[in-house]
Amino acid sequence: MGFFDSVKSVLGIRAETDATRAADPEDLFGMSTAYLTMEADLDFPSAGAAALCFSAVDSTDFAAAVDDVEAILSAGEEETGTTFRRHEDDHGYHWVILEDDDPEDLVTSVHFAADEFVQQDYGSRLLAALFGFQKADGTRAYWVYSFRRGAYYPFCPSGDRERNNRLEFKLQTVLDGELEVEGDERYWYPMWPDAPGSHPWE
Amino acid sequence: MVLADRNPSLRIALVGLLVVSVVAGALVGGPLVLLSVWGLGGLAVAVCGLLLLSLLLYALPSLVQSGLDATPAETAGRADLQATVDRLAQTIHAPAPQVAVVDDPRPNAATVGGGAGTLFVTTGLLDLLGGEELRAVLAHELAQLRHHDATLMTLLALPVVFTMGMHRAASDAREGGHYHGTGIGVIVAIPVALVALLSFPVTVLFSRTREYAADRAAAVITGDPAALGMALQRIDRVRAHNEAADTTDADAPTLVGTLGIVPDEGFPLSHPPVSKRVERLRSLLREQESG
Repeated sequence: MGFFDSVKSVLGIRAETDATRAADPEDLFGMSTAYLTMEADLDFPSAGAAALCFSAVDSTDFAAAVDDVEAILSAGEEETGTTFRRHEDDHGYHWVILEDDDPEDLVTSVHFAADEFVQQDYGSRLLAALFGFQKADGTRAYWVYSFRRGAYYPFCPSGDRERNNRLEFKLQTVLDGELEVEGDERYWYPMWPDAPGSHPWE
Repeated sequence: MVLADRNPSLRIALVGLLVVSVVAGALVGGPLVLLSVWGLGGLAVAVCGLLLLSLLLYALPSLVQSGLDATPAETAGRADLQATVDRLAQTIHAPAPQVAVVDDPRPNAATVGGGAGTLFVTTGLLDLLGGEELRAVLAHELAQLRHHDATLMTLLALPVVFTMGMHRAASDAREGGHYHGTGIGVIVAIPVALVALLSFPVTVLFSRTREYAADRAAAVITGDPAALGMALQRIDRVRAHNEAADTTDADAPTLVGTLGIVPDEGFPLSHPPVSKRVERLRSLLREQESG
């Protein structure tokens, strides 16, 4: 925690400024090569899906911004075949879910959608982008990109609200350097699915 | 102050600055006064006092937790609450506090610091609120935790609590008929009472400003000022109903009440009236709509 963060915290204005901090979507493209490493070195191919998690604003202007994001993704659907749908989870957060067998198209579509939020001045509402991986035996793993931090962290759910720490440790070790990995594990927020065994966006 | 009137964040920060100066002044000035009056002995007393104070602040979370008979949300079958708080913490990039459920029919929520902190919710609150309204209350508490409000309030309220304690001890002794007034007692009591008298308005101003600040932050975090407004109104209606029916148990623990999202019966001045808080949330909502 930096000195100015502490000052803002004690002065009572930190939570609001942190909630309005601009998003940092720049490092999203690091995921393109990470997909290759995940499959070649760890035998973890793409699950064929990625998702963008955001927090809504109760305003007409925000609803219009989301419509614009959908319009961009619809245009992309015709071009690359990346399908998308919307979902609201039990915690009141919204998701744009993208499905495509080509990971490259997933990364591009997530970046398009995120960039549109930023262009519309709603970058601070972006929480995370998730990229799904699944082994042949069904083991799942996610790389989570935190827009607040501009860094990735691994999330490997197993069973009912348990994390496979060993696998997360391994993913961090192998991909560190290739991806900007969040060093402080307190910020490896779990993204639990509404029902165990499904994707966090289901 | 004209600028501050137009800029809520600046006003919040100014009050924060005032309080930090008062607390820092007391922490530095107190030992200096003792040093000048009693020499090195006084300094030793001051150092012991500061050590005790740090110990108190350090032990506060676990004291509150055991005193309130709170259960972690995950073992209370409310893992969803913890998951929601994790998500809200992620929004402001703060470490997620542990959520604990307190068995108390009065709707309330509070936080105490220490590590990532602990966020308490009463069963009364969980019965009353759900969905976006509950989320708004959790976001308010998360903001208070981020601002160290419980710690600062504890520091500020110490002189007041100390004076009240001394007053009670003195009157108990008088009633018992063995009151031996000594000069030392008066010498200690007068400055402490004076500090308490002076710190009272600062405490009230601070507490109220911080409640507004946490309301604003909660509205921004959730993007939904209306949800917090409705939650506050709902809690307030239940409280009014309980007070009218006088169903509250006088012996029930009140710590959550004092530090909570709505005030305890004992210190209603600590929070702004709900109607005023809702009015500020409305103006945020208007801001949000008109851009």
